[in-house]
Amino acid sequence: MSFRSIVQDLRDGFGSLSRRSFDFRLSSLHKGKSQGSSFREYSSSRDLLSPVIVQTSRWANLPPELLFDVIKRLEESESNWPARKHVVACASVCRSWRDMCQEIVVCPEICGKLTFPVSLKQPGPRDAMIQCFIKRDKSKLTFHLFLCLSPALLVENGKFLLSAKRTRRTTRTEYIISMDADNISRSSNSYLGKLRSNFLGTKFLVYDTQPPPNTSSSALITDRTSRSRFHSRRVSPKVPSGSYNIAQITYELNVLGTRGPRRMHCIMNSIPTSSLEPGGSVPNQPEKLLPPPPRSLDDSFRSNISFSKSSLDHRSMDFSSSRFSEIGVSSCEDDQQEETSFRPLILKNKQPRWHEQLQCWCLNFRGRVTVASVKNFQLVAARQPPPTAQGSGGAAAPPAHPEQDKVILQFGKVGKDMFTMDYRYPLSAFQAFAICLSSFDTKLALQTKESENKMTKGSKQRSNLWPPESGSTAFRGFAAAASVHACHHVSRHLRLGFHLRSSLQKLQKFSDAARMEFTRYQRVILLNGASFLQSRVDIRFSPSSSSSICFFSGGESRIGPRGEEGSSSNQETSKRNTFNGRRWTNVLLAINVIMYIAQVASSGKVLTWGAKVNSLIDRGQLWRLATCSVLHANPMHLMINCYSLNSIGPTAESLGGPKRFLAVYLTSAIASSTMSYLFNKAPSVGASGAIFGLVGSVAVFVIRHKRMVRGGNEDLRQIAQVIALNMALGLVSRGIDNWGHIGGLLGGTAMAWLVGPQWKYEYTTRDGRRVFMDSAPIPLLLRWRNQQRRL
Amino acid sequence: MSKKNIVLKSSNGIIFEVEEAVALQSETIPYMIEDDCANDTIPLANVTGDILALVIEYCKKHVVVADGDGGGSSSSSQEDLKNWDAQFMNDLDQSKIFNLLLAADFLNIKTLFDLTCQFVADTMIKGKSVEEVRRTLNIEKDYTSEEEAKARQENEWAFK
Repeated sequence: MSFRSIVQDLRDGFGSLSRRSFDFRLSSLHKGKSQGSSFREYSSSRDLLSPVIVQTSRWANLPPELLFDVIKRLEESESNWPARKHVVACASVCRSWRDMCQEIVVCPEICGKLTFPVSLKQPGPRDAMIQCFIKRDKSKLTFHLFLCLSPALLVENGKFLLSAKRTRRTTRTEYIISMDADNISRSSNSYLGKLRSNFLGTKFLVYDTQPPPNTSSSALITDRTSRSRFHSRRVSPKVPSGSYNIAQITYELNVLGTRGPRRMHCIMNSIPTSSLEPGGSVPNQPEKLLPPPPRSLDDSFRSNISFSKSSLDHRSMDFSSSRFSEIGVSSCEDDQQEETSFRPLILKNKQPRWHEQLQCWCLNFRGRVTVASVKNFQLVAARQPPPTAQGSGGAAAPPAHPEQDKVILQFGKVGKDMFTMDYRYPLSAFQAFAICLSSFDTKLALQTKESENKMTKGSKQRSNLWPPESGSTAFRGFAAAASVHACHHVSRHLRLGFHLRSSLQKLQKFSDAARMEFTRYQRVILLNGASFLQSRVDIRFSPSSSSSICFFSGGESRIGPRGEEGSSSNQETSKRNTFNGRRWTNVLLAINVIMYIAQVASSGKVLTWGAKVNSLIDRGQLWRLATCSVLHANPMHLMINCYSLNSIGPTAESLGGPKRFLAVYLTSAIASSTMSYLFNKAPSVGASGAIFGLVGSVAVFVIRHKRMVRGGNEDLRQIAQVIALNMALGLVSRGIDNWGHIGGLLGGTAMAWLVGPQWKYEYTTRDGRRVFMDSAPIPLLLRWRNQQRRL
Repeated sequence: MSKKNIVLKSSNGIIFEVEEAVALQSETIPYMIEDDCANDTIPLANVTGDILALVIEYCKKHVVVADGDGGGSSSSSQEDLKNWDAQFMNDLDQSKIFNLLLAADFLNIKTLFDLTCQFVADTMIKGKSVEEVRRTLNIEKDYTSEEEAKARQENEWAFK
């Protein structure tokens, strides 16, 4: 018997043309030895065949009810991946099977299971979370979303759901989201959508290839009636046809930004707020279409009441209650109704609590996240008063529903390149994945190995934290102004953040080279905030016969009135200068860091006390002009400014010596904040104005010693380029405190011009040493005064 | 309990005489008994003789087991019955399974229907690729090329 069925299997395979005769023969075989009982005979095998077999196969013509039962059993038994793929296979056997499968497989919102690819764009289950994990491949910049198949956190296998690839454009980052694991591109028809960041990386837009549900109720109705025509859509997302913005994600920094967690803000354009209310649903779900609730009885009832009230005793009514009635009426008008019923859902991240014992921010991920990371987040629906709530007597205001406290999406790190992503109704896997990718964008930044990239992306990461719109307005003001510098950094980084590493190496070389007589390599890193354009100041004095000339004496005492005498001990001095050439830079760095620590420790009070706020300076708090330059808004701001200072500080310090250096630094700091005070209304903090001043002083030095310095013009041009570029960018990007930068630059330049150094060749000593004197205005003046005194 | 026999007649005229208890596992037959003159044979126009024979074999087996337990279900006899069912289904070829499925549906024998459906789902569809399913069941694909591409894409995704 079994042999026979095998034979038939084989024969069936040959096709429908020949199978009729096979059946014929087989059924006559049965006749001979069919097991069983006492039937006498049967007329002809044709009778058996004819009613069932038509053209293709009896199985193809299985009555739909039976097929339904068979597939239903299959669907029930294969409830988990990877076995569930057979349900998908069933759907592609033929049309009738496909229709059947579509009817049987319910959307994940109800059954909690993902089946067809289309379920990736359908809302997740209402009563549970779909647990997924994301694997990152840093080398390929790809991300793969998998469905968890077991409760273990770090398993490698899962059902592949979605993939994404990160691409960097000049002005933005883009993530292409695809349902093909390997070939992630926009051109293939597995392309599902994309996530795109704005220039600064603070805002992300999610684009879908399918349009968001139309917001007019008529569209909903057509959806409902054309249910059968939506089959193709239910099973497979349409071939990419467009790009529709379905969501927007904004990152904000916590007020003082330093240790606080980030704030996320997601506006889901395709999901109405009402979806979370009892009985609400996500539109454009063919399976789940409910007629749009026209106007609740309550609503009209209430407005009637207010109507009658106002008409009855409108005289005695006070102003507010008559307003009430007016608004109540208007909210019943149709246009108003539509507007309110399609408010997009807004998601916010749950604010973590500060855990005193653990000294960290804590969120309860219920064991699904094991590694602390800035990227971890939980999203809940934001409670928002509806626009007409106050008017319609609360009819439109959804009561605080427990639904709204549920975590809708949570994302967190569990291991190296492994993250969990759990989502539920009303988000779809696609939307959830896109939101998580936006969180990645910042993370990737910090972990890049290349130092250049690190800085670049680090600054980008920082910029993601902006603008800090949360918190009190006063703090917001500081933060906004402080972000000025940050913005600058970002833009610069994007374009100019190259060669940092090499320049670091060269800086290292610099200290060695400084001990050599004639040549000094100086790496000047210009760092006004955003771009570390490296300017190579190769100061090479015209060689003389002597081998022991030292130009950069550094000590004020030497370049002071007795400048000519100092040359006797120039060897030692120069050595000492090399070692101590950055002492004051270090001090300044330390001050910045200490102030920052103080600011964090005082939970922002220091920032409130010291930032440049025009209105408070008007009231006489003049210290703010000085203090703002040692304060910073957040760690990245501090880091970038410190890095900049660290780069240019030693150069400027060794060129002019500590006193000149400090004079330039302080002057430009104050000049910067003064300028900013005069021309820029926004509050600001940051040392970049002072650092700009140092740049200016280096420029002055190079101008003055052009004849002695080879390639001076080249250096100047570079410095000028950097400054110009900074200014241009400052003008382009709003929120950058360009006035502060200009002020710092002018102040530093002026101070450098006044205090020098301006070396002038005086004479050559008998032993062949050439002696230079400082002829800058102030040293000249001092020398002149000393001479007067001596006389 | 009077042992009453019921006569069933298949579409091709074969007569079966079975005990009432056996026949009454079908939920359709009682109605037919009521409707028709119960003493006469009951014609089953949709079921051929060989399939009816299988159905009766199945029903007899199940009625015997149920009787033997006296209402209770010892696990061993349940086990036996399961094994018997599996063997029963395994011995059938495709066309018989198909007709048995139809017959079980027509006669409304729930357990048999469940058994056949499950068997079809498990052995003929499950664990097979689309092509294999089509070949096994000899179903022609009737897709347009566009639908075909879509289906293939879904499959690629599902089998990844």
